[in-house]
Amino acid sequence: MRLNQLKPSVIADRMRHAGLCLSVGPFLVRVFGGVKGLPELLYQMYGEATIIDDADHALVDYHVSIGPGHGLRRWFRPQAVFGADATHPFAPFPRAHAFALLEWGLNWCIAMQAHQYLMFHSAVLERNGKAMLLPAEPGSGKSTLCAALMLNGWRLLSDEFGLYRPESGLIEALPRPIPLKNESIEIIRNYSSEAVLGPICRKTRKGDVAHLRPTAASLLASDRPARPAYVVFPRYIAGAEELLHPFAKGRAFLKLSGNSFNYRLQGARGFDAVADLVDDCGTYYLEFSDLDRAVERLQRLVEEDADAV
Amino acid sequence: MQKMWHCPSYDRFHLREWEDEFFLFDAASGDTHLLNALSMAILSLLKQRRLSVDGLIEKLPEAFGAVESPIKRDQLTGYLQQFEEMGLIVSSRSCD
Repeated sequence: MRLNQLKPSVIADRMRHAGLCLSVGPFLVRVFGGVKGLPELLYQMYGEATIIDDADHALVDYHVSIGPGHGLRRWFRPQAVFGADATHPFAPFPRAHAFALLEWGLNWCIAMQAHQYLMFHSAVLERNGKAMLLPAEPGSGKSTLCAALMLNGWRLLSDEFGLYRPESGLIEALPRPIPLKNESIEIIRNYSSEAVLGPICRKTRKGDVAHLRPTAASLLASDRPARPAYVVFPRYIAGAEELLHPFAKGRAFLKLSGNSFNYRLQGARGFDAVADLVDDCGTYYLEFSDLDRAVERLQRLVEEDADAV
Repeated sequence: MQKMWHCPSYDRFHLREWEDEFFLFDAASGDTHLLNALSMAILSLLKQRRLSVDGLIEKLPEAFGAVESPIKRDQLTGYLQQFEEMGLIVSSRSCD
């Protein structure tokens, strides 16, 4: 069953009692909580995601909750508190930021526990059956570029996590709302009439943040991994001419291993996996300032390869 | 007594090469090292047998297809000390 087949009032009821069991890519997440407005945002942002009615407790990867603040904070400047398996790893957030807190909390759960994967801080999108990783540091324009590619028909596997399984050589799909920050919010709102954005959370630690809904096609294909074919290191530079050039394999190895959340923890498996990725993929560096031109250039890259086959 | 050098754990290394740069993962330390061709030639020779600095100076030209050693004695000693600190090779004393 899809989440948008339930009314928000039913979602709220489940979250208050047995928990809402949501299939998020390869993970099963049971969400509890009674924070006003959160069921409506889950309905809006994860509409086509699968929900599991009778999930075995033991098969659920993460039990998370978003609850109200304690004491007077239930009424005075109300707060939201994130919980994961009976721990509370973060300080409370304002209640209006509950959805962002849930997303960041889920990121934390995955980053701390999903070591069956080699995890990259990377957007991943798929076009013509080929996955493209966009690993980058904060401020590089990764999420904005990722949003633009998705709004141009690329399938979103993830904006935040490249979940690579070395044994299969595939990247898992983990389509979740894309957190846009500051100027990127209006850039993407104006970029496409298809862009569905949640409310803006003002003055978070990352500035203003609004989440962009994944496309329905991306959510519906969340059980379909993809084979990586490109690693592109993007960098937004105001006023820069669009530039895509091959990136030396050795440099790509250094950047990609440094970009991984758990490279060192993985040991030899991580080394071999990053090396295989670098060997198997085209590695590039993209400098951009204009979204349309960057999207067009990356589409051309994939199409040229398709024509060459 | 001469100081002898050896790389007994070469087989535990994971190696990749791109554009004459070598990336070596040492499973014992969990460290990844970026090495040049000369460093790899030294490790490769020390994998096969225990050698002194003089022994290495003698063998290295052959490994590089050159007449003279590609590295001076003092520099080579520096390389070896660094490799030992990194845990890639071990030293011992010999009466040879």
